[in-house]
Amino acid sequence: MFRALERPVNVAAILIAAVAVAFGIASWRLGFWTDDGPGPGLLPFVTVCFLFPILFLIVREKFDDEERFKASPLAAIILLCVYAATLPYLGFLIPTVALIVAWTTLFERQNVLRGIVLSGFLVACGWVIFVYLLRVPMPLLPVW
Amino acid sequence: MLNSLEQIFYGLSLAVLPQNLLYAFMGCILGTLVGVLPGLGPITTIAVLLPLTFQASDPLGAIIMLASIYYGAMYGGSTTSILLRVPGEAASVITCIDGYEMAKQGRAGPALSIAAIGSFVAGTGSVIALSFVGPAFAKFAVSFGPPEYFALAIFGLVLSATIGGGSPARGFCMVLLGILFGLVGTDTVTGVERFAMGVPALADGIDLVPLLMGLFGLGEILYNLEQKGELSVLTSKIGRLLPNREEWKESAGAIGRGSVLGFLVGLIPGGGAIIGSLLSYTVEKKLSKTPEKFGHGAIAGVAGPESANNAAASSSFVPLLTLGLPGNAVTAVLFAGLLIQNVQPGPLMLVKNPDIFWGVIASMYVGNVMLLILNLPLVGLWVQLLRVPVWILGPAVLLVAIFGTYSLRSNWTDVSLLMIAGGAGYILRKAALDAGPFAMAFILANIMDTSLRQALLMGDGNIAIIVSRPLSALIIGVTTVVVIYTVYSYFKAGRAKKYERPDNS
Amino acid sequence: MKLKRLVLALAAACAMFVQPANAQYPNKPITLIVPWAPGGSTDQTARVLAKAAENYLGQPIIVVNRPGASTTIGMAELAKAAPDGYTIGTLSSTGYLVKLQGRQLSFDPIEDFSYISYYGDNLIGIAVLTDSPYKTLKELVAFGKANPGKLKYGTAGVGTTQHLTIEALQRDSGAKFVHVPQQGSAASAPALLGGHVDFIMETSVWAPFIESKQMRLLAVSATKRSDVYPDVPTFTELGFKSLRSVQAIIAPKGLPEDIRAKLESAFRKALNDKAFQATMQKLAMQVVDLPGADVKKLVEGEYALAKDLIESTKK
Repeated sequence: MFRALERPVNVAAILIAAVAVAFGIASWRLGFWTDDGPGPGLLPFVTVCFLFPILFLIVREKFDDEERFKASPLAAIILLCVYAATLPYLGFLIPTVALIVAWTTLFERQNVLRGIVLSGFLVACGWVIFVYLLRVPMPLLPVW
Repeated sequence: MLNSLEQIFYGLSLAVLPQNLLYAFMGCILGTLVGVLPGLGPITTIAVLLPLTFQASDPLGAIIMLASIYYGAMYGGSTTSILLRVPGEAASVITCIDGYEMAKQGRAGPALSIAAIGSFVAGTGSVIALSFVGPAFAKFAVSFGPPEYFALAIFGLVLSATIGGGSPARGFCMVLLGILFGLVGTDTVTGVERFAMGVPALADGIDLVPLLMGLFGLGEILYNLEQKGELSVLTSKIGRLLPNREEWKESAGAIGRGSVLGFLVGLIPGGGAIIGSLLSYTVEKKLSKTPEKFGHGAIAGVAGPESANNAAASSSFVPLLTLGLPGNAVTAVLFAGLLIQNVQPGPLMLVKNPDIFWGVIASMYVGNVMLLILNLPLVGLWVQLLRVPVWILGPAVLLVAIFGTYSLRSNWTDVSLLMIAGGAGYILRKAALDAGPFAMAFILANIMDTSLRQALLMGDGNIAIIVSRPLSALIIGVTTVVVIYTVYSYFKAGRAKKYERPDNS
Repeated sequence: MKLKRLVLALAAACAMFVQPANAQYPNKPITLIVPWAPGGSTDQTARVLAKAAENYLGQPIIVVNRPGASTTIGMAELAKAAPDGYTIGTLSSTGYLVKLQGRQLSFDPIEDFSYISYYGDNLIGIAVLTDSPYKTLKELVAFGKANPGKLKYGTAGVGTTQHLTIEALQRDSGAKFVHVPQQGSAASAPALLGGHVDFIMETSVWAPFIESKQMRLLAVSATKRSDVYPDVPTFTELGFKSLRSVQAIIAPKGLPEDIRAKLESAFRKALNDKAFQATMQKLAMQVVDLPGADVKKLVEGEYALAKDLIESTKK
């Protein structure tokens, strides 16, 4: 069972199947037909129906150089999601600096000093381009 | 003909006025910049600058600047696609496939140069076509109704499955998945929200930019985290900047065909640059003597699509200027820009504001030359980007993606979406599932669904309307042949056949 | 100019820290949320109007675009903002009509706002191609009655002012047309030009084609005839109901009355601005001046009418 999850394509197929089931149920609820013709749920439902047999074909395809998941990208994905979740509360400045310092030290294996210098430099560049030159209103500080 | 020539000279005489040259130059630089920066596209930039043109005393100059931002962005859009696998703007998704592979092989210079040269040829060619036969093509644009859009969308979806190097089953899987996600948002025909889960930011659908930057850009950064040292190999072999003779030979035809395809597709409102580049890529792959090179750094796979999206950008001015019909979001903002300057784009513009009409067209000739002069030397500079250590480049791209996403709609949901798309991009990549077909299907899904149901409403519920109109019947016919051929060859080759991974990494 | 603004903004920012809360309003720049993408008719008119109103308020008004989800993203943001007069916004009919489509909203599109002023109506009209056999709305309706479901029409989408007005026309006249919803107003003009629909009910997208004599305007939905098209009758004249395409200035609920009155007076004075009137004319929009209290009544009336319409056509 767990051996099967070592193949990324199996994991992807399971995720896609889960997404497809969710879409399938939602399109069922939307309705397949209206008085005027096809309803909003028809096309997505048909798409879902086609998706399953194709997933089956894909899982059976074999490659010479099958890849395996590695830990660091998966950890990075979690870090990015945590970052995105904190943004609305803390503003851009603090989470972004923290993200870049964490990224350079944990994933790029650099020392903390480099991480801090890089994050300061990048955030400053971003501020100049987006906020100063292009006038994008960006909440930099936490909203109290 | 002679009359057109006279008009163009009149336009040129306006375009080369020092202040107009300056406006065009500023627009080109700005356009290239926002084209290069992922996330920031011409729409945002033109929209930001639009209020400033309220004060402009010179309507022609203001319009020239706005227009040159648009085609400048089309030049710049390929840069990050090639160097970092981050589409600078949506029309350059296709360029990621072979452009990035070329960069990995140390051929970033030729890829960037051919993109600029192809863009120049296509841009100039389209402007010539635009000046002479543009108005005649305007009728073609409105003849495209729901049945034709449906046929075109189906055709595009089938083609999408075959781009990249993976197996057709994998391509179709990504196409189907792309359709599902593309349908999120308010349904045009019934006004019902689909799959938006009550999230306001999803009511208009998933935003394309965070999705593309996540799937391609972030996905690539995450993938590179585990491929330590690989990128540094690549940096050591930045070779030539210009294409060699063999590469020229491979690209020349692609540029020509891409320009024509792009020009035609750009005329159709809503068709636009993306379908143009997709079509061009497929055509090149089918015509090529070495189709197996596609997906592994075929220069024709960069030259064709990049020419096509530039040609489409120029030809989308035809419906705007002759019919007053903005065919895409950028021309819609330009439309507003013209209105602000008291110029009503439309059938009477040629009569009432010939100076604006011909001035803008002539400035496109000038602008294309400027962009070529600007972009070729920049190739050398951009290539140096690859010398930047990976530990700096990764976070830098990450930051630009985050800020760029937020700047589009000032929306936190989009930033979360970027992260989720990034994670998905990594997993798909590991599973050898190509994000290219997904992106194409995502864009085409709504066109297909809406136009099918509009067509049925028009035809009183009878699907015959799609095959009874000549243009849509033709496209449907070609599509059927492609599908049958693909399915046939898939099963003939046998499912046991080992397909190559989409990327030779 | 830019420098002056920057200095003003900086000064205002400093002032925020040193001045007591009850200082003279307004003492810092005001943000105006436009829930539409830049370049649309509301965006264009609101920007010019805001510029004119600045003169009467003595503070810059910064226009920010918060487009998406049929204006509800911008409206939600405005509803959540502090009712201190420093965040105001524009209201379009779309904002409350969308609730009738069954969309779940995080705010009440009518009760959660204070009403500052009105500024105009979008002119919405029925257009056909010039070579179409229908010269008047009466002929069109008569054909629709004799041949139910034969004629197809396009609008910006389901549940828009445009669509509901034609629904009302069908209900009251007994004619039956088929609605082919388009993806926004801009898509309606090509649909008619290409002959994919028989008529369109739209905002001024038809204007250039009326001028070039490719399209003919049969009737407009407005309180009175338009100055630009004095020969075209209104729906009301012809005995049909029509919904208004509202353009108003609003603020979050609970705005103190003295601040509201100050804003109202500034925005109503701004209606006389030459540049504003020119922009409205260019977009075939009618300038309408209404006190804030009446705006709410008008919106409530429009909402009730639309609700009634949707309920009666659902059967």
